Amino acid sequence: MKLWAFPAWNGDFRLVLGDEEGTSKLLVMAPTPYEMKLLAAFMAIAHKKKWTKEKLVEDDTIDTRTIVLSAPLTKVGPVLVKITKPADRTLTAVSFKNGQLEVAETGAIETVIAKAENDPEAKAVSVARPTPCCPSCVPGSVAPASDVLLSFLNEQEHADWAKNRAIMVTGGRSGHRYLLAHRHSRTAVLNKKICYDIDDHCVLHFHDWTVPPEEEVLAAKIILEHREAWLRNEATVLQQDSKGEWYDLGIMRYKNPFGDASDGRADAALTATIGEVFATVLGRASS
Amino acid sequence: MTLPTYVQDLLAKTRWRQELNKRGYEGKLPVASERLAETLRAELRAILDNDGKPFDLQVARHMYDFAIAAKDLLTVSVKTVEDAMRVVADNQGAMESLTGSSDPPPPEVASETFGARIMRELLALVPTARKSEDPLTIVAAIADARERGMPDVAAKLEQKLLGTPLETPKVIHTEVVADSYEHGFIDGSMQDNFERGTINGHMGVDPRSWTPAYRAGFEAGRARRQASQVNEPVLTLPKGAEPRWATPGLSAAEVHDAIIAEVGMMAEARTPEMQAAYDVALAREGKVDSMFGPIAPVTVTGGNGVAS
Repeated sequence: MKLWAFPAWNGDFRLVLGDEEGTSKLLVMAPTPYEMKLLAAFMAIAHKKKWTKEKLVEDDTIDTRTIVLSAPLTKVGPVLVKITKPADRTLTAVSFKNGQLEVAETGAIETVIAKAENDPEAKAVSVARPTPCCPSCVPGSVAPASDVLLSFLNEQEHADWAKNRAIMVTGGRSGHRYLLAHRHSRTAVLNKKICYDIDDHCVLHFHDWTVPPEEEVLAAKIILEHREAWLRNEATVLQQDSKGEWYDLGIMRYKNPFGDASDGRADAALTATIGEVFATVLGRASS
Repeated sequence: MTLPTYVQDLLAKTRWRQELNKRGYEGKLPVASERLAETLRAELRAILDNDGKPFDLQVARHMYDFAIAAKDLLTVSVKTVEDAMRVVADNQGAMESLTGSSDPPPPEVASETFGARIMRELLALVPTARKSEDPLTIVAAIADARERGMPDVAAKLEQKLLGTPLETPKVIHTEVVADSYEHGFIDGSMQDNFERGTINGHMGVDPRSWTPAYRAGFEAGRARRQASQVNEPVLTLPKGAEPRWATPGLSAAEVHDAIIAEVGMMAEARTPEMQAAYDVALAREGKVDSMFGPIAPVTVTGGNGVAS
């Protein structure tokens, strides 16, 4: 295995092969204060296992840091995924040299990683389930695609992403086709969400603004293809009118494995409160 | 005096057809088979009839679903990403939505959107508020990122160090430019370029510096794009046919494109005839080949024909 990516606020943490056999490197780009805490937890384990002697300190110039680890990527990765991602709602996908893609939830990660151990071209990514509900997509700059997203797209998807910043994926359970668009693209702005069900002509309400747009699309793609119910359920197919009331239009959905229709509303309320506070402080309308 | 009923029916049908044609697009679509059309009519009658029960919300909902399904059957066939984007654009958003794209968002959604944006913007300021960094560390990280085939990371680090990436990827919105790796490397890999030590993994503008792998990828990507733009397959030249670049009356740009289509971007792969045809077209427009400079005058055998 040559790469294992963990989407983060400013891109991703990346585990890559080390210079010497049996070693690896962790590349960290501009972690947020919360991600610094996750890294500190990881470093504590790394020290305990004697993988590294490097240390993080409060004022460290950590945002351009490469941490050398004396353990192979396939050993470090499972530890890092358990620390950086919620175990019960994270899917790890491995892309093999022959084009095959395998996925595993965190509890069964060892099996798929063992298969990747002998494939020098294998790449992995661990994506967390996006949150149901609700900020609207807004126009903005559409940056070049990240390498990690492109690594998991097939030829057609790659061409579509290059040309339109959107891809079409098929739900692994329903067979419905979904249009996944960059959150700053015109299509997403019109739909207000990144995911549009082409067959039912509706949007699925979910978002993950804790990662960059490319990683958000990658997570949605992998989860829709392999764990569709995580993102197509009573919390994500409800439709909202202009007064903010929610309606069930009877669109096909699965049981939400993480709760009920109110899943994600707490997150939404918190973010909305923060928005209201800042709008008041800055003396401007939030819209 | 009233016209016979069957004549009135005929006139009504004619007026109906004229109305359809006036509206435009329906008249251009292939007509659904009689059997399909009749099946849809029968289904619509059954829905409206509702087993003799009154028209209620359920019936309205059923009709709505039916109308969408019928539209799918008759007119809408979404096969590509472009089709789907067009459906969204034509409808100004999702069909199954209680709001339009121009409707103001509910207050809490507006607050949530603003909150999510402001959090991202504020957290983006955190690194600059921290202790200043050692430039050597960043340089080492840039080198490491390039070596590992991570151009996006290298670009971000260069942005941090210099204020701008050394070799800005030029993909803006959906525009794909000539030196983008998205042209050729369908797996996203730029390893070949990194191994050759090119800046930021991107190829130089000068096609003579391109590797065979990049060139092959570039040409394949270009052919794909051109094919999708004109919505027809890329045609190969029939055996013995006159090459496109020798067609009389072409502009220099057209000759250039025709040559590239035949031999790729490798300038040295051009035959003397190709170069001569190009130079003649340039000369006619009062220009010279900026890469190779002016060449000796040639005799032309009509249009952009081959020099003798």
